[in-house]
Amino acid sequence: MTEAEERAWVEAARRGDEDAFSQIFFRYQGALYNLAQHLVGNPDEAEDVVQQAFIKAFRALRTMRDPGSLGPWLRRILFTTGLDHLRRRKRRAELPLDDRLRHRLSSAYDPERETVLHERQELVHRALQRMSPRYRAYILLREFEGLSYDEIGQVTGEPLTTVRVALFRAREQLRGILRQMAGEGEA
Amino acid sequence: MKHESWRLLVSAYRDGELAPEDRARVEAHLAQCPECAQVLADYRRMGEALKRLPRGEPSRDLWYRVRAALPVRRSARPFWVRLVPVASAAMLLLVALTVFLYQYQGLGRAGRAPQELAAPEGPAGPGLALPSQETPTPMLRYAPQPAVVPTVGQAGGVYAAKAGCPGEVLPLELVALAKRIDETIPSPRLEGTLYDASGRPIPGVTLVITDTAGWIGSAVTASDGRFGLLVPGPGNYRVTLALVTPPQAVTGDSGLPLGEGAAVWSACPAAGPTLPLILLQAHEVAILTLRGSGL
Repeated sequence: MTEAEERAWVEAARRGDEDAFSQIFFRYQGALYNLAQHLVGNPDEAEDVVQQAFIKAFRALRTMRDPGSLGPWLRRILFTTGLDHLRRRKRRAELPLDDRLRHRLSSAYDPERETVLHERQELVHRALQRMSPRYRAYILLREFEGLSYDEIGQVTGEPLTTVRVALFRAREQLRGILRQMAGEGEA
Repeated sequence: MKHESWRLLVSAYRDGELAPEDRARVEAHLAQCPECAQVLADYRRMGEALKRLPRGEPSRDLWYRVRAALPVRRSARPFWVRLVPVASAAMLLLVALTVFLYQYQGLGRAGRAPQELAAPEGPAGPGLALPSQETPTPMLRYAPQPAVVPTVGQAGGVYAAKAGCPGEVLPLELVALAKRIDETIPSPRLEGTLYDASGRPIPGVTLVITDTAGWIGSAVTASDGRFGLLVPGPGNYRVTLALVTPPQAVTGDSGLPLGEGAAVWSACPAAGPTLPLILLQAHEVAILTLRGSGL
């Protein structure tokens, strides 16, 4: 989908065109789902979050300022929806590793590669779920999604200086959790 | 400068988000500070692991859940038009069952099974004119029967096929035809028409089309059943027919590169209501030249 096509779909969807919105949905559902999956730590809850985000997006299309920035705009809605979801969810120290995620982690494992890499991924997944949701979102946007500071700022609605500090805090938090887990013998 | 201030810069350095002069300062510091160098190494390791976290796909019915909650004005299509797929499916079911029963009875009278129909399981004794009244679970095993034999390079073809699914009456099957593709065409487009068995077009059905490289698009059949979508180019395309009702999608993969012929595939829904049979007459799965068309 080119940028021009995307703008056309946005304009049509703004007029209530469901078909146009379906194009947007299928273009972005995968990316948003994967982000949500690691943000909330559970595939089922991730689907709920993505579903809510797309419904909110459809309703908010009319207020969208720049139809050319659909990706960051959708991620922003997912970001706020995901954080709201986590706030509502009962506090849990750590989610059990979902079977499907475990399977995907195992499937991604290449025996030719270092076993350490696979173990580190699973460890990082667990550590992510111990992070504060906001910092977790930041580090996922940067490292998992590969967004720049400017793009992260568009998603979170915060200035670059805040993004820079938040990412530093997120890294330090994750590093501390990983060290703590290593100390607990989970590594 | 304190270590924490340096680490803040190291974090931004890791992201390539420093101005050249700050980058040079950080590099000079890293060369003489093993602690900060270790921090950078940790950040990099964490980043690599995060980048490789598993990715998956949401379930196929997610779109229906979203769609059901959209405040969309659907009045553009009259109510009776929206009922067409349902009515067609019901009619098809009736017709198919009639044909099945006719053939089933004919099987007994003729004393041999048509090739395309599975021999019924059951205690039918020798010399018995009709099959046992203890009717076994219907298992329709029709071989694909193209109404029109497609020719490479030529549009056309209707396929109707049903696969046996224990406990299911008429599972849905989709058919895709392919046409020779000119790889030089700049704006390839996949087109087709969705018809019911009586030849009436089915509007308002969403078709999700994907290729093996991860490209995904969707099209909705118009009032005349036609759909069209720009596609990246020649390749293997998977068409998912998203039914209006019940909200369940069935997919199949042609397994053939587009441009080499026809393919038939089937799916048995594991559970849920019986799916209506809809024929996809991909009469023009073709790559058209759209120069100057504005598409």
